[in-house]
Amino acid sequence: MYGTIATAACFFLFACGSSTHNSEQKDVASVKDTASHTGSGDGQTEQTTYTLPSPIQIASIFKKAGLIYYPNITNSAENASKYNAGKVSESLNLGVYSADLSYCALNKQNQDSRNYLKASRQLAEQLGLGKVFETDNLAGRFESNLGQEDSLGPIIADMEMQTDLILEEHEQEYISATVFAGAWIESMYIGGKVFEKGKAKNVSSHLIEQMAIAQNIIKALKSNEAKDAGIPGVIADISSIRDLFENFEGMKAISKDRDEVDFSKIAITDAEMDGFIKKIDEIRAKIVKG
Amino acid sequence: MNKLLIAVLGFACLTVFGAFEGSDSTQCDTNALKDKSRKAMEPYKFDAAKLMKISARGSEYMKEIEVPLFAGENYRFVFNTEALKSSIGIDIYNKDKDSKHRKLLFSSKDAGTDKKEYVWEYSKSTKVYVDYIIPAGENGSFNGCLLFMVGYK
Repeated sequence: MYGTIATAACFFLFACGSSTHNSEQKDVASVKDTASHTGSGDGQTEQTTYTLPSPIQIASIFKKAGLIYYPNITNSAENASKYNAGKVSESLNLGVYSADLSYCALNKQNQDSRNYLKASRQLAEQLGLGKVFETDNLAGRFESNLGQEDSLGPIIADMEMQTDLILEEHEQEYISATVFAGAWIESMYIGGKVFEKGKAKNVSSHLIEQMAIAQNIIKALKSNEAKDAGIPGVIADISSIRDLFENFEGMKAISKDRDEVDFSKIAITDAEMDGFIKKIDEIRAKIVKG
Repeated sequence: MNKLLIAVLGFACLTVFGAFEGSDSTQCDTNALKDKSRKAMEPYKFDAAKLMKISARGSEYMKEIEVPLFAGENYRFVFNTEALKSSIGIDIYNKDKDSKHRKLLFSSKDAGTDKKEYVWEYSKSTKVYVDYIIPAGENGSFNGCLLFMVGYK
């Protein structure tokens, strides 16, 4: 979704970034999230970088697991006007709204989807990315496909992808990273709320599975830590969720080689799940408070 | 008349020089790469894309991207290399570059190094690691762009 913001970003960022003589040197290391060399200057390897799933994929995974729609779980679109305390707050809440938009669109909630698109656009404009919504007739395509889950998904994914590409191309990745952090927290929050209502027990394994990428989000944020004074606080919040999770009995028992672990199969007690959902609630409340 | 001609030529030279000076040799047509990759992605739903600008160094080097995959989903990876001036290696492993016992899941060498588009599919809840092997060249020379797209169904 943040891809959407892309075209807008074009105009905004082109204005800031026409100097290219240095960019070849920079481009050697211009991948998302990180790019410092790990070697001793021999240029053999660089730090690993990451891709993160879009909010629409996370919403789709949860929906397949039985996540149903409940009104009033999501953050009110009317709150958009109160997020003006800086880029981190704005981009986190842009992420929150993108997850809300994905949840509503996949559940054919047309009016709510419209409201979340409007709220997303408002925050994107505050971040200097508003023109993205004007390109490719995005708003028109969105409106004409409301209620058609199979069509809306690709439009939202297109927005996300295009925004990411532009932000990446213009070295504004920290906005992508904070937007994703907000979207991930909101997706986990929605999954947790529906799970608590007892209507989607299968969602719990998918909530746990999402923890496989918590460390990637932290690394993505850490590589941009110096870009905004608000980022360390976001890192601390997501680290607190990861640390809680790592202390679960089921996690202590597994191999240190996490590449071999299917997170969706880790056994979690009811008490652990309660604590996990409460922790997510607490951090989500902090974000949407603004 | 001569002075006027010289002035016009001078202006033209400055304009042409300025145009070259201002052009960006490291820009790629991202939208064209994206559109082609989207076609290759069908019938999968595209989810994310990563544009990599590649420049050479004096010796071969490697860039690695970690990709998380989730249970119950089938994934397709599309790599479009047509905006690269010279080919690079693309390998996919089950573990990262620091692991001593990792398994090669895909290699562009096996698929054909002259291809401009590579497609690979996988379905497992795990992480995979995409490695780009960039051959040695004149240090800092811009090779072009590579678009990597992930989709699922």
